[in-house]
Amino acid sequence: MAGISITKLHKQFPDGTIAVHEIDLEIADGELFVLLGPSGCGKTTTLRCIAGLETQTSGDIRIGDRLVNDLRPGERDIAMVFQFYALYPHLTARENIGYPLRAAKVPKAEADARIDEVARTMRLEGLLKRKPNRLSGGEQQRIALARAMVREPQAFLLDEPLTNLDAELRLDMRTELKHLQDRLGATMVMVTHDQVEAMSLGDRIALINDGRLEQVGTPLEVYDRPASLFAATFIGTPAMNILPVEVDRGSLVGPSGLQLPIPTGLPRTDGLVAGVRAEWLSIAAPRGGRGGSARVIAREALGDETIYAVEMGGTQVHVRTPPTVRFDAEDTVDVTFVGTSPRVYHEDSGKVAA
Amino acid sequence: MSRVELAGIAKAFDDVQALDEVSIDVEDGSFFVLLGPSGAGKTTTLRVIAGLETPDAGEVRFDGHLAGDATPAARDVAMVFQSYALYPKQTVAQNIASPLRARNVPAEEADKRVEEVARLLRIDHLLQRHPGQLSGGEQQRVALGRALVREPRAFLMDEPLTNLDVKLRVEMRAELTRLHRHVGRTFIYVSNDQAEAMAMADRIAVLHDGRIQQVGTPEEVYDHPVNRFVATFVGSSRMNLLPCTVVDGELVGTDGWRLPAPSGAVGHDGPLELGVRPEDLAVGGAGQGGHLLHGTVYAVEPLGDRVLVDVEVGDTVIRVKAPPTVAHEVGDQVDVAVDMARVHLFDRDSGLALVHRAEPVPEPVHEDVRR
Repeated sequence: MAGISITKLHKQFPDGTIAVHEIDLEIADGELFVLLGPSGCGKTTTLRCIAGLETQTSGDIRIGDRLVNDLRPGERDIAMVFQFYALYPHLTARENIGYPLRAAKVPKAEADARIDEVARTMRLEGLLKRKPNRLSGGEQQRIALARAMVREPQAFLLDEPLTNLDAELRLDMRTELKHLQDRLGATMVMVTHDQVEAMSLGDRIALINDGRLEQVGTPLEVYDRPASLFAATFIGTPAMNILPVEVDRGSLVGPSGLQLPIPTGLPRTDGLVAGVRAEWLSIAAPRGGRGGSARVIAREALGDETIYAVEMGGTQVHVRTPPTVRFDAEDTVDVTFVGTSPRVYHEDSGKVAA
Repeated sequence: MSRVELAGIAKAFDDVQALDEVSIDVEDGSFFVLLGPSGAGKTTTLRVIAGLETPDAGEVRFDGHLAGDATPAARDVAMVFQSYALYPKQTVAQNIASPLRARNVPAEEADKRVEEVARLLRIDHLLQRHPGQLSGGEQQRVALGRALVREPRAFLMDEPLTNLDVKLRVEMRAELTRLHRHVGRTFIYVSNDQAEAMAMADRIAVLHDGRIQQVGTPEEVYDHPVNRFVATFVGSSRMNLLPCTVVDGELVGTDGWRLPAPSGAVGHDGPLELGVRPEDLAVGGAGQGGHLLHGTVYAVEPLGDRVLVDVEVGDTVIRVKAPPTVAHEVGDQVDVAVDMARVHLFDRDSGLALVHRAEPVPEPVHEDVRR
């Protein structure tokens, strides 16, 4: 396995559309790296440039130490996995895994040895004689990945691998993929538009918007410390609350008098908004003090937690609570900040202020 | 005003039994969700209520009166579908007003109603636009507006949020709850999304294979599922199921673990499954009363507000919901504490619940009475 290095990647299509403005990425050997963003942001184009399925307009791509700009896809020594489900139904698991070796005319003895080794690594020994219809979803995924593994590529590129699966299977596959990647120490670059998938799978996430990087970081970094308003609202469900705030004598005041701690280094300026996650707030019966007064609009009892939508001085705010917290619609409540520190952004530019 | 009752509804299409003995009682003014996977019979149920399908057996009543052969129009219900089906050449205002035009409501009154509805849906600034100029969420609001403008006795909604992206769906949930409270009429809502059902419903009917599995408040179906289907279908992280049997007053797992048997399990000698939700497990096991499973960390999935830790116990992978700060590596040997007060037990063959959590706490069905 190898790392992947991307320098000043730029891609303009013949019709003039700029899919990627400028992207720099250093993907470490053995890392599961996720390219996340809304449709049309340039994430798939970036992946296709790495694969060699598109040629970048400018910029360099290295796989390991090798500059691959001028190499065809087949020469780049990578495995592109489009969807984990495309097994040949009439072939056994063993034949499915061995398929790329047969296609490459690898001698049978060597092919058998490689299949056995991959099967052992991925704990598939007991399943090799079965056909896909006798395998569970998780087993099928392992076979599909084994088929990509058996070629011993430098890296795997995955384009929305879980998107077309039904909801339940997708969760199982997510776990299976995460487990395998961790065990195999494989370099994987995965494209998704699903922020939950990105969070749960990625060692690191590159959030892309409009052909540019918004933020690169671990899931917890992008969740706790979004680098821009775009990042703040793209990641997390419900979306991060964006609250108008003013600096007032050493404290930060949000809607309806909600008191927030001032992050260190906050510039003295107008036009600031605070980013506050739903779980950084709590609600309680009104009793004065530091809380801001709010009216309950909706209570969403999800079982393991309850999400309240409340109205505070004209702003709708989401609050995440344990399932035992009980208020009804139209109740008046106090909302209190219980997090460490809010994020603060310039409202106009969307850039982080502190 | 409308209470909607279904009694013993059956409906077959060719040789497929789409609905079998479906009985529900939807209270006037409540938000009632028909929840189930595709093919469960939800949409057919809704169409029977609307009068778009004639049941083979059973009765539909509105406020105690048999609906019989009444046409959809005579039943005075409004339907909202997942496809918006707006008139592309008409403005938003004209689209919303179309049911009123069809009923020859005077223009002045129609305008007033359209404006009211548009304000309620927060699309009053869009009235002169055409559907093509609107986002998906805005179009869905227009479709809702067209249903709301009529003030029918009940609203029947068939997965109206399905075509919206996840973020917008979550926002629209609170919107719909607010709308329901404001309108104060019966909403019957079909969904295959359990989070949507939990978030919005006063009561949920869980359907599977054309049969009602359970009817209850979100808390009841979540905390007291009557069978394995309901238990695993409801919940954002699926309930863990661990095969086991009762031996000498203990639960003995097929994977080798041992836990004290809940009282309801004693004397049951068939194969069972222990059901436990991810939030009722804790990795590490400190201070949980010592009821432990032992396993190996299989995968770790950080979600920001929580981290899901998958642990392989014997041949079964179970999921634990942990605080976001919990750090474990794949391959770590860990103890998993089980909150035995919150476990479920199912008969492995029938899937029926033998033991579930303590009795439900009664709660008011309506949340809108305190104005």
